[in-house]
Amino acid sequence: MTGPIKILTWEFCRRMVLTAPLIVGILLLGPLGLEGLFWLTGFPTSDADIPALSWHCVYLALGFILMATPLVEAYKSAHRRMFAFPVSNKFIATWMMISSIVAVVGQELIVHGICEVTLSDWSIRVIFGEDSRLIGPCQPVFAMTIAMLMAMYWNMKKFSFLKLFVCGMLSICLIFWIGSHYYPRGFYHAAQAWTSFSTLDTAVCAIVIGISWFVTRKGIARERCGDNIGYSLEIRIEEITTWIKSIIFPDGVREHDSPEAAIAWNQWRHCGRDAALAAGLGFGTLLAILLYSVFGSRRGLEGVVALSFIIPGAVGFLTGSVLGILAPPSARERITMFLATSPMSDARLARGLLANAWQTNLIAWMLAVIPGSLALGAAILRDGNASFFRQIERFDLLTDWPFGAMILPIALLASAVLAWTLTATFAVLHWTGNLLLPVFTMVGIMTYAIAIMLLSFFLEKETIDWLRDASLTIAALAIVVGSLVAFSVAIKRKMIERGSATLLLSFWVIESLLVWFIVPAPPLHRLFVMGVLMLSVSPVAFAPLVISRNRHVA
Amino acid sequence: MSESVVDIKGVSRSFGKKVALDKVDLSVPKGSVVGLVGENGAGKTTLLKHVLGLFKTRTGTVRVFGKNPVEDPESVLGEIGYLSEVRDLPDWMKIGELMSYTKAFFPSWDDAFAEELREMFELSLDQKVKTLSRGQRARAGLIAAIAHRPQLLVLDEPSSGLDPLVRRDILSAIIRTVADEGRTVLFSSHLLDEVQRVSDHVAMLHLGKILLTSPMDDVLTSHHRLTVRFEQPLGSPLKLDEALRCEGDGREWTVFCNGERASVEAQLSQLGGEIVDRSAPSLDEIFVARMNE
Repeated sequence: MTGPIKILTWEFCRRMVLTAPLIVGILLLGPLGLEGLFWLTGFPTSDADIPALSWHCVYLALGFILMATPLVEAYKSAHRRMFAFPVSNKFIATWMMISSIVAVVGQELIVHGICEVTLSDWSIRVIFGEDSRLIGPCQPVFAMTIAMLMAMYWNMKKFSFLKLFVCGMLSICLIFWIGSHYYPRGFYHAAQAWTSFSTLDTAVCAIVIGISWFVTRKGIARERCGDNIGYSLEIRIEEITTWIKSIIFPDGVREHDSPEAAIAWNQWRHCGRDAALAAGLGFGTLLAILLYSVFGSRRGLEGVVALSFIIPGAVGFLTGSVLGILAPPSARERITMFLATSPMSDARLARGLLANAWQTNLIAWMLAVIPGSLALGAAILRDGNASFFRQIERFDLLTDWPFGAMILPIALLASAVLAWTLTATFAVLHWTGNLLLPVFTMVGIMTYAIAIMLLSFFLEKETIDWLRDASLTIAALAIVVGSLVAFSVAIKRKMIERGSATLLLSFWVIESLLVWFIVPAPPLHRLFVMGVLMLSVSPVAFAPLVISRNRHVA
Repeated sequence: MSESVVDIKGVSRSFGKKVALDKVDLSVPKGSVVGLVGENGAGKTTLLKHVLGLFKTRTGTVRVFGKNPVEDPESVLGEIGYLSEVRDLPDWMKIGELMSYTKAFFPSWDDAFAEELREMFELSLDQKVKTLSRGQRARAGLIAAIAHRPQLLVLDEPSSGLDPLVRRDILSAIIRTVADEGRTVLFSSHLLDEVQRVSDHVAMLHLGKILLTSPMDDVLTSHHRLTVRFEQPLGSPLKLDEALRCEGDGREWTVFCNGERASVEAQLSQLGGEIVDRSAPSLDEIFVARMNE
């Protein structure tokens, strides 16, 4: 290999080396872990009638984003070095395109290969179907998509609305072209495996890749000689967001009454609202799509109820993660110097951050729930009220459940508690200053659940049942005992008032009683949920402790 | 003895095998300007972080205004203005927003003074922090650090990124103004000419140990530079028992010593050297001599 190619290949491989296992991990560990968790905690997964189309879209999009993101990251810093090499624009365009296609298609092959070999009982089959033979059509499609993205990336650096329009139209065409192959009978029918390419398909791919290469070369040529400096898409987006912000915050520079108000303003203006919008709108849209696609399905409502837990849960997880990372603004691990040196006690700082997390989470949750409620309302209007309640009565999950008519308000309330619990828990995990802690916590729990689930193939049913029961009991006890210890330490260090602690623990007792009397699940599962609910109040004790640990390094 | 604003006793700190601070004692008198000097990695930032309560002491004690900054950050940090080396200001804020944001944390914020500083630093209210150059960021950080008129100003490498003009005119003026108002400044720097110009006390850190801590005048007057000329070039490097450092080649040598000038001169005479110049060394030269001691 010659010099530049050798260096670039090494640079590229170094940056991409962890991507493939990461994607495999997320795509496999995610659904398997979720399934394992549901199985372990007794959540009725098999009753959730989630349409394959939605999962398919989510997985394709998630997979592609995961694969393409490291490419962008790799080129963000590497392209300047490439431009300094004595090589032509043609070489750079070719190298970028080929290496990206090889990387993404390679990863895609690995992921799908592993999925094919290890199709799990529920989640993977729901996504890919029993006769999954996806290795084949995805690869040229991904190659074509990455080539288009490359062309868009290098040409949108000099923004124009015409380019944006063309890119938008091309993207819509691409989505419909792919969709028409997977869903030849329409999007409301079952997906079909797309196993082979016709001559026309091959020609379309080849032409698109060829045009993309040509356009990429032009964009690179402009970037290399500095002609792309101008009105970039980033500047345009920033202008729009600044304009929106100026409407929401018309005063410009505003005075803050207290440090807490300043922190809240900072969070809301900068990351808090973004977190809420990202989580809420993203999952709200997803919820609306899911609801829309289950119209007409006999057991659609059951899926909706299952999702009313999952989606706000995901909202909570995302806002918790985003707030946890960003709450000490822009800090990746340690709290920022600005907040750390602000004249606030650890307890006051923690209270300010938690209050802000609560507000953000509430907005995110509402943004997720509102489109869902609208879609549900539309379903009721279409099928009629009587039909709607007849559907509820058909729930397998809710047979003999005395609170049948209350299902929606209860699900709504539970989803709010779940979203807050996850937000606060993940924010607190991040505020420890150890970024790996939330990752290891999540991966650890999921790995354990998968391990127990896989062990069920090898061990006696009694042993597995005992293991499941023991796991749930220990987890619930650990959460409760750990939280009580946190409350006790926080009171001792004067970080929380005794009265506040009593009030919060009383709230937890009420939550627990409601769970005990309302939730239609075995006693042990109810006890587990009661333990988990402790996490809805214990962050108030944990937050000042971890902020203190982060702020004053021992 | 004057009252101490910062009192550090026997503080040690290691990061793995690297010793960052080794039984450090330091006292910062009220109303003084103390320059903390040392090479990169000497432990200056670590020491300042102890003062701010960002590190808990493992051994020894740190008292700021007589209080523990870890246990009582609210009252200690309320009296401190701090400019960090990394200038981690919120990138997305405009200068006006940054001033308003910082003001919320400090009840003693002086709007008129902040405005005066902003105009002196030629920063616009509408400028975003992320669009500022390194020097401008330092200036914005300085506004946030001093506009609430803190009793103790802690500056970690304040000159980093500032051009010589700003360094000489603005930074020195600020430090002197703060000190003239009876307030205290503790700043770290490796620009020794600057430390010599603005400090009235100096503390030298080397490999985590305090080598020297004294009033600046005492440091400058107690050190001597002797230029010696020999008849014949010396065959081997010049070594003197009481000298801090000998540098030169052949016939002409420069010797730095601390207080023992008579004894060093006697030794040089015995070796046949003629002292051709006696002068006061700069802080820079004292620092280099001390580092190689």
